[in-house]
Amino acid sequence: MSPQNWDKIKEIFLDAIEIDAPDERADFLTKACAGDQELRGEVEKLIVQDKEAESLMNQPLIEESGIYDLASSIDDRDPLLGKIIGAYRLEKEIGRGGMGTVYIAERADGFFRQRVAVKLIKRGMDTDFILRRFRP
Amino acid sequence: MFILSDKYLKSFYKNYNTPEQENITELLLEFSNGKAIAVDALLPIVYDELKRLASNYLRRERSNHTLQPTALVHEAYIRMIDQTRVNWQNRAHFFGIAANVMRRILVDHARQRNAEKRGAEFQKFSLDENVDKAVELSSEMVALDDALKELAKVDPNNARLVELRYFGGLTFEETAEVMNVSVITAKRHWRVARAWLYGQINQTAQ
Repeated sequence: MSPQNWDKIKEIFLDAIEIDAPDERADFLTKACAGDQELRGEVEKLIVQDKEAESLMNQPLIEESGIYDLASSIDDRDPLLGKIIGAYRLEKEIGRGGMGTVYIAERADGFFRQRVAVKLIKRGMDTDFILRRFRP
Repeated sequence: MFILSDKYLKSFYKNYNTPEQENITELLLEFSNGKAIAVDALLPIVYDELKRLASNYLRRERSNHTLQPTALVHEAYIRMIDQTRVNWQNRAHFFGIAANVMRRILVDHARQRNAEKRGAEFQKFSLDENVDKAVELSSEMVALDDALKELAKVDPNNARLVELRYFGGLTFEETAEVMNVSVITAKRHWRVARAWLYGQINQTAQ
């Protein structure tokens, strides 16, 4: 369908749906399409679809059954999961407290397999006093 | 040692224009003035904010059974933009961006859910009506998104109108404002788009 044809289909369709009486509408289509059967076919198809489409996009976007799912998928997605820190990729959160969060992490540099726990200190808690406790 | 929590800081700053808000407003003004590149900077910021708001909103409104994109889009606008520096055209541009972002958030989510359910052949054994309904809705949304991509090839303006109205939750008046057309024109084109999309969705399903 070329853009010119589409403009024409749209125009005739919009005028045709304003006419309620079937006879009048048929007369209008005959005149407007001027013997172009393909054009008339497209317009008539659109008119049929228009009747059936009344319920389409009529509902609120997400209903009850969907919202908890959406909320939990947003809540659960910790932006740090999958991130690589040093040689380790954060796989899963296993604990959370006042100072920060603990993750299970997998070695991701390909040298060998190793699982470790990684503790990330919360922003604002990364004072020298606290950081010193994590240094060897 | 005295540390202010994030929550406290946020409520403290809510009534003031933060530097971030100034930045975002500046970007929006640049975009409105025809600097297309500003949208690249705006999109991820609007995306993060809408996602965060969606999550908050749903937690707060458990008793309300519907998620209204329009509420999210308007709230994001009020929080992110310095109202004293913008006019209605800037507002319309912001809504245009937000509608596109809402579409991505919702369709990505629906696609993901579809893939999960298909993988587990969940539907076959499901006894839970709500789960069935959720799967059905997400399939519908994906089908609509696909059809909308096809419509964009034939008639990009009409596709944009559906995005604003359906995914952005804008009223016909707001949609007309964003598209720079009359309300009557917006309503007429919505009807054409809806009929076309219906045909496209059913043709693909057969």
